[in-house]
Amino acid sequence: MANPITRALAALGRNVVNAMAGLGRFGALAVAATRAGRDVTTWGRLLAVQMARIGVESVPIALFIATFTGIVLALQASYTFTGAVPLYFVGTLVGKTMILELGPVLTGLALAGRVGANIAAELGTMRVTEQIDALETLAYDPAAYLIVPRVIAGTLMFPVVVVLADGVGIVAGWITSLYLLDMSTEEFIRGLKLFFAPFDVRFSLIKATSFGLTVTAVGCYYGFTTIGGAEGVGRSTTRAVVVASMVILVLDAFWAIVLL
Amino acid sequence: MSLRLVEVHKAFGSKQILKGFTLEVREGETLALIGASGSGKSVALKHIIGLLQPDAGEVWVDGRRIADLERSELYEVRRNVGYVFQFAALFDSMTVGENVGMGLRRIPGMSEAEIQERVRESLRLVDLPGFEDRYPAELSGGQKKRAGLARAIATHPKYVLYDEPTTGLDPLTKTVIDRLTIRMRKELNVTGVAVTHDMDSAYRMADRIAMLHDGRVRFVGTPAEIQKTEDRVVRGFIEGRPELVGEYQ
Ligand SMILES: Nc1ncnc2c1ncn2[C@@H]1O[C@H](COP(=O)(O)OP(=O)(O)OP(=O)(O)O)[C@@H](O)[C@H]1O
Ligand SMILES: [Mg+2]
Repeated sequence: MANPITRALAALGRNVVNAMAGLGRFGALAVAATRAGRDVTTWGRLLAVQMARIGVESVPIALFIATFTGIVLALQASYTFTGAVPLYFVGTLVGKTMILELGPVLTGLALAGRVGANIAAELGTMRVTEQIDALETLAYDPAAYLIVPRVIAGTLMFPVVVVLADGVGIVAGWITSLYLLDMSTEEFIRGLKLFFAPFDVRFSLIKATSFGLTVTAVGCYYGFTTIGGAEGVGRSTTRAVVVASMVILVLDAFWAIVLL
Repeated sequence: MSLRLVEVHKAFGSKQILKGFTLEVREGETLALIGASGSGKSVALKHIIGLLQPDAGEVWVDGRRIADLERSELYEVRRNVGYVFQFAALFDSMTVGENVGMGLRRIPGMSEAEIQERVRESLRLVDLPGFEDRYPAELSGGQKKRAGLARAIATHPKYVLYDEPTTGLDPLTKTVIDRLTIRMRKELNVTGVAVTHDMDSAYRMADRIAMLHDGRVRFVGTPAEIQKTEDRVVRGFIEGRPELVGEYQ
């Protein structure tokens, strides 16, 4: 094993094996969660709480981000166009960019931090303090009790939050155009409508739904598979955020390739 | 009906913890499981309720082999088994009352009033009357332990598995819990397995004592029998004399 090439190959092999084992664990958990989906009586009454925690409580941060994104988009658009392009195209750029890309992706990334970390830390703590085992001994299916309500809540609520973010971003861009760019409302609306397609909103919603599923599923996975005390919980939380963010960016490209 | 573990093997990674663990707990008895720290007592107990699956060997509860059960059947079996966790494992997002009521809410046809009454009764039994609205974070270690015990016995299970129910309690509370264990057996005919380090406790409440050593049951017998045993390892453990148990020298 002294040979550096052998050692590197061994390390590579270990990583591949670990990755495969992780995928296997994720698959097993996904199967358990799908099966638990039928246990409606268990997760049904927990859904509202999770929808509030994952959705409603995420609205302020999402709108905060959307507001500043809208302002910057309007200013950068007008800076870029500098007379060469009619100013009403600011409305086009703000609308399209907000709905197609920045609304869903920035919200998704922010919620990967807020929601994904929260789920991983909470479930990770429950795992290492044997609370998940305790659920089992009391004849509750932990997948039905903990995973299903979170994943469903995330999948349902992310689109709602993203639509609000899209809207608020556009409004922020419009107000910026009015007061900082000397545009009129008519001009902004004209630009906004110019290349608008109803499909854009559907595209935004499809992305948001897939991001909601990703963030909650990844958070649940790292929470459930946490091992080893407070340090383990910290590790799971970090991984959940990093992995969820990466998957969001990959999905973002995936939807662009497949749907546009 | 009874609890039975047959030739159970269990390893974590390369660490072999159980190496052919065989134990039968008879109906209506309380069996104390003793053994050194890290010998695998909690691991053995978790096999009974299916929290861990054996690498080899069989676990039988109530005449049913755990490995054969569908999930729903496993939950049916678990409704008859109370499990007291070594570190309480209370749900920290819920009050003590909600914790104790969790198992009761799985029983079909139990009304809210009945649940509340049963929660009150269970908390009284473990000497925590009126603690319903407290949160686990507001309890001392010993109080948590007793709340965990209340949660396990609230459903009046046929079997109770106690993982060190009295470790870390003061002598008075310890006696209260030991008496509760005895009462569970006498009045509710509960079959129990109690992991313990405390020999006084074991002598007081157990019908039989089993000692786990090196992954197997080294000795099983009544308190009177264990006190007379010639086995050096067992003597060394119960008398606290490492020099008798080879590997502790
Ligand atoms: N989930 C697990 N993963 C890896 N190792 C484990 C796991 N559970 C237990 N072990 C290991 O198994 C061994 C036995 O643990 P166990 O908790 O059963 O000991 P114990 O006899 O209950 O000890 P104590 O009296 O200190 O509670 C320990 O070495 C422990 O590190
Ligand atoms: Mg233990």
